[in-house]
Amino acid sequence: MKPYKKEWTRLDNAAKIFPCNTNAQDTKVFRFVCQLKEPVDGTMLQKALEETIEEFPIYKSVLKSGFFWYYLERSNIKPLVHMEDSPPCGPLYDKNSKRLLFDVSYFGNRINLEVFHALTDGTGAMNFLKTLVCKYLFYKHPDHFRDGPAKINYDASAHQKNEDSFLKHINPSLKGKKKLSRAVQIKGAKLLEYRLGIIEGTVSTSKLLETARKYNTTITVLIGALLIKAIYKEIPAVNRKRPIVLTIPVNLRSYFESETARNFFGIINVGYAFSELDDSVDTIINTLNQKFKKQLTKENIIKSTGLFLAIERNPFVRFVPLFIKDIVLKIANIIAERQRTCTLSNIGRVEMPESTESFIEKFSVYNSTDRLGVWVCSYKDKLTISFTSVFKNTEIQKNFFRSLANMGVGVEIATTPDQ
Amino acid sequence: MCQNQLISDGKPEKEVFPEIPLVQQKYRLALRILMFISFISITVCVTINILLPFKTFWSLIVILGIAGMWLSIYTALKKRRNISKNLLWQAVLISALVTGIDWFTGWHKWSINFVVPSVFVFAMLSNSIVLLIMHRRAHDFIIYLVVDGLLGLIPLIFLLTGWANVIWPSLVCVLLSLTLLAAILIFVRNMDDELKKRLHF
Repeated sequence: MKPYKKEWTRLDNAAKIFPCNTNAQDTKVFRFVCQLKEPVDGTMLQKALEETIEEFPIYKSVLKSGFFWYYLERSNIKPLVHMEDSPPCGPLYDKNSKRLLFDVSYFGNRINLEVFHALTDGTGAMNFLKTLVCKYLFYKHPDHFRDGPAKINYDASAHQKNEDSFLKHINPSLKGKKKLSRAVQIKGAKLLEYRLGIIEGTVSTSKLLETARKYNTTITVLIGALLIKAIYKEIPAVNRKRPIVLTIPVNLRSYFESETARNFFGIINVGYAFSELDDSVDTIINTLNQKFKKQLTKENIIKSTGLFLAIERNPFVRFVPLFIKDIVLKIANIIAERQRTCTLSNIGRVEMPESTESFIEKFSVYNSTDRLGVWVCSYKDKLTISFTSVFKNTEIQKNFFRSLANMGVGVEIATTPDQ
Repeated sequence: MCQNQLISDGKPEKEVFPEIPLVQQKYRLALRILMFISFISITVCVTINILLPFKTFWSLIVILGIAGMWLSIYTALKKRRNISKNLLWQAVLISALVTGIDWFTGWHKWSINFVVPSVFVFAMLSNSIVLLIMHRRAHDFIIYLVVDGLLGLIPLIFLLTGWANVIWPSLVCVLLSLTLLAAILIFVRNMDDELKKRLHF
């Protein structure tokens, strides 16, 4: 029989919670989009993808289950670029069939990269997409890139890319305790077939930044405040005594030295209680400003991330069979979800090499969710704020973009067809 | 969004997302008919069982059988893409179901005498054939054969405790599973690697 020694990798700490909490509604798949100024050429994109994947070998993995944990195993499945033919953020991981955990498709001017979250986080996937776009542009416009494909600002060794930065940087003995309190939940009729409705608003980065400065705050806080207010208007009065809690992922690479292409993020929960404070945008912004300042310190982040790591390294947990872990992690997730209303994630500024700038229109990002999520990223003067939602009702989105427009920030809207 | 009529600026609007039609789910009707028949059979059996003077509660066996069938169909559909895993699960489910029915009907031991060993023998043989046919993907399937082999040792318990009063089916099963496990250990290279991977903690 053939020898079949195959490279394999443990899942990192954050990735461990994804496989068991993946379901038809919340697929744990996120999509990064690069919109070019011209239609995308599939053949060139395929060529570019084949080269890119060699630089990010972890993307060749499939997810398998062992007796105690899931793990990533290298496969020789060839990734194929295709025309976008399924709803955004559809399932990529299927327990019973082994397939790659990412997918590259294109539609019109858009290149879509979809990734299963157990593989990597936003920052990791963005580096992949940026490399892919640079290589694609090189093949498409060889005259413009005479010195080979443009290089993105990411130079990590294979070892650095593959590192589990949680193990390296977070000390689980410094864990903190978490307070549990229920948050407002958005409810309503859902779209058919577990589809996600997407409403993507594009605004001017400089205009939004100017507005944020007017309120003495950052773009994330400004968006967070408007979002909280937009949700507040739609929740029934009986539920208003509970706080509206935003879950915000934090890129840990900006706190610790890490170049990993895998997961390395933590989350903070920021709540606002209308029962105690008034509903003016100024008060919401001031409160959020203080909460962000308090929570976004290195010690605080170590504390909250350390808790998960401590659980994972606990010997009792380690020797429990996987199917029991699955059930326990599902329950833990349900409890955690009760404390959250909505996710807000700001990927931040996307930087591309100067030579590619004339070809790129904008970037945007969406993530699967089982309720409502808001995803922000900016490229030069185009900042996209994308709502992904499982609900038919789009009043919150309407409230949000209207209040943005009322502040003098013009919004250009794009949506999925069934909205 | 702004609740005003949109005014075209003359330029053709480019779609950002493709239109994707809703998909009709397969299996739906057949499964629904089967579900209805199951429901009717259970109600009819339970009614007859209660109305007529029977000494035993035999309709429980009907319920158990139908529940087992559904469990089996569910697993078969869920795991249809992995035939080895499917065979393994079916073997476990059928053995458990048959032993359960035997237990309820007075423990005549026909399940552990004949059925359980034959089911495991069948699982081992069929999974070996799958492995030989799909030898290119052997690494994906070998682990299920190992588990098959380990399950095949269960009839050894029947033999040692004297539960089984017909010995030869269990004996055949145990000998086959020992042969299988030995073959895997001797002929499959990097088996230790595969086990390390599957058992990492």
